[in-house]
Amino acid sequence: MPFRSIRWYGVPCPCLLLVAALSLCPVPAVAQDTIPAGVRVGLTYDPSTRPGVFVTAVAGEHGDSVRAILARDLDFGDRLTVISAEAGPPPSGRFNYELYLKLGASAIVQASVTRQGSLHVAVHDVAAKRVLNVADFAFNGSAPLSAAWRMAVHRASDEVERWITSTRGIAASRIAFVRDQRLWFVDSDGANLTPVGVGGIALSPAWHPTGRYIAYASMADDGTHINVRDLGTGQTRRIPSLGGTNITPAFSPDGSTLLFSAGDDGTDLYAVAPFGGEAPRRVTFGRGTPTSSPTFSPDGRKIAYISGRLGHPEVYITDADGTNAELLTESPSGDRPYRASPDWSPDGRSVAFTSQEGPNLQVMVISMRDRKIRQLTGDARNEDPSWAPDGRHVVFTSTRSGAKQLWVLDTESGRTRQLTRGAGVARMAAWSPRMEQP
Amino acid sequence: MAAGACFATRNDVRVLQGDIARLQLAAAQAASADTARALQLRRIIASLGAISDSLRVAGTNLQRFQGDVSMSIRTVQEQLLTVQELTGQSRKQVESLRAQLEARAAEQVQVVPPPAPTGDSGAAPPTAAPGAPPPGPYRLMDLGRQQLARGATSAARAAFSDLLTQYPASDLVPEAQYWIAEAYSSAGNAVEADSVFALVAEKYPTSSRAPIAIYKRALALKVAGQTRQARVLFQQVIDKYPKSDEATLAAAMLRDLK
Repeated sequence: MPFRSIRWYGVPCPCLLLVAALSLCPVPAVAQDTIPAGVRVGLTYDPSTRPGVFVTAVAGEHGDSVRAILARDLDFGDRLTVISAEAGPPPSGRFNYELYLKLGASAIVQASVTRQGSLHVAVHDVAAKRVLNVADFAFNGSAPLSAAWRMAVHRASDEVERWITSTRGIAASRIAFVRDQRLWFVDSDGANLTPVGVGGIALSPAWHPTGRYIAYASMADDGTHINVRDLGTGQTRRIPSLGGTNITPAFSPDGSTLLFSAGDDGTDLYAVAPFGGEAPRRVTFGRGTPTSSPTFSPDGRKIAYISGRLGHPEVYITDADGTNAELLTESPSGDRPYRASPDWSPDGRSVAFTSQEGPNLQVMVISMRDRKIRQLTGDARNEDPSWAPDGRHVVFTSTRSGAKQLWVLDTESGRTRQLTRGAGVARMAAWSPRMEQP
Repeated sequence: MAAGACFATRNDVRVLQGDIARLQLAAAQAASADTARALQLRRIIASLGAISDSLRVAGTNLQRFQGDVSMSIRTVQEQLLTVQELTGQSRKQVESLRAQLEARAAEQVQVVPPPAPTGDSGAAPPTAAPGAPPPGPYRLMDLGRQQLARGATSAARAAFSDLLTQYPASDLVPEAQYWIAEAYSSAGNAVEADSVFALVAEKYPTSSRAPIAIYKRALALKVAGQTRQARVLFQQVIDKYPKSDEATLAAAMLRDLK
């Protein structure tokens, strides 16, 4: 859904007039002082609604870009409706909250780029007619409009979303994926598309919980290997190969364990310390059948993975120590569906996976509480889901626009948006954790 | 001597001719024998070639047979694994169905239809029958597992404990005891978890949960730094349950601990 647009009838230049009114009609913001004791008037977020939010014009260098990024991030978060109206000049003085209320705004985001090189952001609670929260977000000397500068604005967006909805946004995150056998990164809003020179054919990227490292499988003349790359230094460490195929790495939530699939005659999962230490320890027992694509539960106590023990690939779960393996995705008797690419949601409530549905692959999600399966996609071929840090959005590969590209789905509203464009097949996406302050 | 030679008798000549004839015959016989031997040798060589070919074919056939047998064994193993999985799956489905049946039976007994309307069009709410039966063992197991999945460890333990006390003869008793230990472990109560895992291994040694329980105890000891005791328990898993998955895990752990 695009930004909520305001329609005005019979009034010339409505937005500009309105914005002028919003900016120039000072109303004393002291109304909250008159609220009787015991009565709460203010911003209360109802998850089933999308409160309106108005992002005012941003004062300072590249203010227009800041406003555009803030508004887009809040829109992509799918928890707020960004009211699209001309921003007019940056507001000064007190806000005319009544007029914003008429616009449908529950909150106002007021930002400015300071001379000290930071982004000053205030969020106003329109109903309570007061400032809800204020904070400064440092650009840390990054060049305007650079990747680091944009990430600083994304962090501000995420905080704004948290102030209003109590849930932090996901704008300050990146997606790693494979295009034309190379590793690429793209910001959550589709900007800053960057190739990563890792050499050889890259497969199956997986993020370390700190966002500083990325593990991936590589194919070269000497076989397949698991590698861990330090995104800060650019250095890559190769995990000692177990022979045969070495693929599909995944970090544990505390970052101390790296799981991967390895083997010659069938594959099994092995656990290893990603930065050196003990020898790889076997975790699963496929007995000659393929086992791959591990994903940890957020508490690190369980692992979901793919196994062919039933004669066709299904999603299994096991304790992280290798005991209590059980089939997660039951199929009706006689069905032999293809299931792959499980990814455990950050809230632990569900596992997303790819499933063959008729002639196509679709993205499904299974509830860990009652094991009920829900189909998330239906158009074209959709596969390889990866959860965003909010446990609500999923990035996946889809052919709905023709070639395989990455798309983002809001699992609650069903809203989708295309993340990558251009030539080449984009696949094997992995959504990063939130990128904290550098 | 020359004169003597010149004067050799006809008899002498005849003798000489005879000798020559004998020699010729011997030579012919020898040549004939060589030919026969050569022939024999050629036959032998041909036979050997044929035997070699046969052996080669037999060898190839044997290799193919071995390959087929190996493939068959592999296929049988895979099928066996699939059958085991399906069996386990069927067992779980049966347990789930039984849990559902128990739940429905309880609902039917619990919910008594309201009496027929007597002129009043308002429907009366369902009423609970006094003395409704408690949930069956499968339902309790199901409830306990669901609570555990939600992180409600106390409620899970209560359901498993109910199963133990109300259905002490149920097949699910070892399972319930095991999940009580898991519930303690999930709640971070390592001491209680260890003691209940020990109980599972001791009281139900033939249960499929026994090797897992010992392995869990060993892991907890390893994490706590009690390596010697951990080694003992890992070895116990290997000795008592050599064919279990946990024995393989324990062997790997013992290698790491050396």
